[in-house]
Amino acid sequence: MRIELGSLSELHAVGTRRDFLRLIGLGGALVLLPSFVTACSSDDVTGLPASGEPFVIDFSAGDPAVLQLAFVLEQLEADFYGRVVAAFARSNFTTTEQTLLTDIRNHEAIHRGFLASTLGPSAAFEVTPAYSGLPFTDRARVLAFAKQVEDLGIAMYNGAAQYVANTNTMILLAKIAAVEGRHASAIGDLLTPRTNSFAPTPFDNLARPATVGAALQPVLVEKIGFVNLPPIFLDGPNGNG
Amino acid sequence: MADRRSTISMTPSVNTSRSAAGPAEVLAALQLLLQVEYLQSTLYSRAKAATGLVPATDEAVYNTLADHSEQQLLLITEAITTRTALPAPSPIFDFTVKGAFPGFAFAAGQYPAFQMLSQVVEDLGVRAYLGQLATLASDKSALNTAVAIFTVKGRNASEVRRLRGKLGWITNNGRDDLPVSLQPVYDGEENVQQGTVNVASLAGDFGGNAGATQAFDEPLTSAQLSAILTLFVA
Repeated sequence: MRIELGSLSELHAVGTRRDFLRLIGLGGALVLLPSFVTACSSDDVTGLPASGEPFVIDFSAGDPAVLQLAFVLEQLEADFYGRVVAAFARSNFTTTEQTLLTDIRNHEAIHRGFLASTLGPSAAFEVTPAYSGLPFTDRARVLAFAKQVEDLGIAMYNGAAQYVANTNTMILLAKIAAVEGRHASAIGDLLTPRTNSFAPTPFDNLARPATVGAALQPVLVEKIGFVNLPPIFLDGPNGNG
Repeated sequence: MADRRSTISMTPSVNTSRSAAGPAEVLAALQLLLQVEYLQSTLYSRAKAATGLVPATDEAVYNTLADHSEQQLLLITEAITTRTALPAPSPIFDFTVKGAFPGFAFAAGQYPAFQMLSQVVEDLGVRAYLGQLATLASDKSALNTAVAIFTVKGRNASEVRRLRGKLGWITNNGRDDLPVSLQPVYDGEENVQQGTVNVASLAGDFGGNAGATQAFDEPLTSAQLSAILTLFVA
């Protein structure tokens, strides 16, 4: 798999609530017929990507910087699956799939809570996901988004391992990464059952923080940035970090 | 909320790390992982060569596993030779696991036992790699090789578990319906103390203690791994 920059945002045919309204010719006029609301799920839009405050991760802080990057990912995952679960009553997931996605929601919420507690209140900065009209009731769109986020999380954890000075911290993050692998497999198999989609390659990707940030920006309201990034990134077996 | 515009400066909140492992320790870790790779690749290559074992519906999955394990075995072998050492030879494996799967011989009709073996070697693989990462941390190239394989083990474990109707993740220290002699592969997975955080205390609305154990995989020590590997050796 390649890390495709911006691929998360490209999942959405209609960008934002504002774009959607413009597209259907309403402009700013608030004539929201129920069918339009359903069509774009714009009531779920939390803000435009990169429209919010700057959010800077400073790698001179050392391991906490890696924990902060992981915390951004886990906040996105927990929030996303939380919305998916909340939309089950109106969505086209089978009950078996609903059970599986609820498990994943639980794991991601626990990961988010673990990182928040580990970072402490002064460093655990909250971010706001930007969904750009993603319909949380649409099985295919939800699974496609989930696959992107899970694969990105794996590449983030694997790429950042080399920067973690404290081996105890590195192991804690790897314990999470293994379970993200279990998630990515289940999501891939739901998309294309009993093929190689659970694990398309024998080696997972390692992504450098800047690559992760660029892939995250289309789904974050805050403007994510990095300072004092380590000068060297050692690639993994796939050589594409 | 803290001012997000300012950059962050803080001190690490976790324990100090142990002293770095040297090249000999790195090689020992790679040799141990090589044993896991021999176990997995032998299981899948023998299944692939067998007639009537894997149903056609599941062939694509098991062919993928055979292909991955072969390539992962190669990469670990290369990691050892690159460090100018000789890879240890493969043991002769006993896939009855000392009689836990009586008469198992990759024969037609033995697919349920084969699926159980797949589950246990994949869950073992995840925990084996997790247990060696700290040692590999002193050699970033070896570390990167290991983590790139490690998360694929997690993917593989989830797939083979789900294919046989189990959850993709491990709950508490549960071995599902596997033979009791394989319980050591799951012991320790019930841990909920992650660094300074008891994650069960965060899991009230998110699956409770069971969810807290599912959300993290747990490492096996080298001693635990070696003891488990002997179960599979003839």
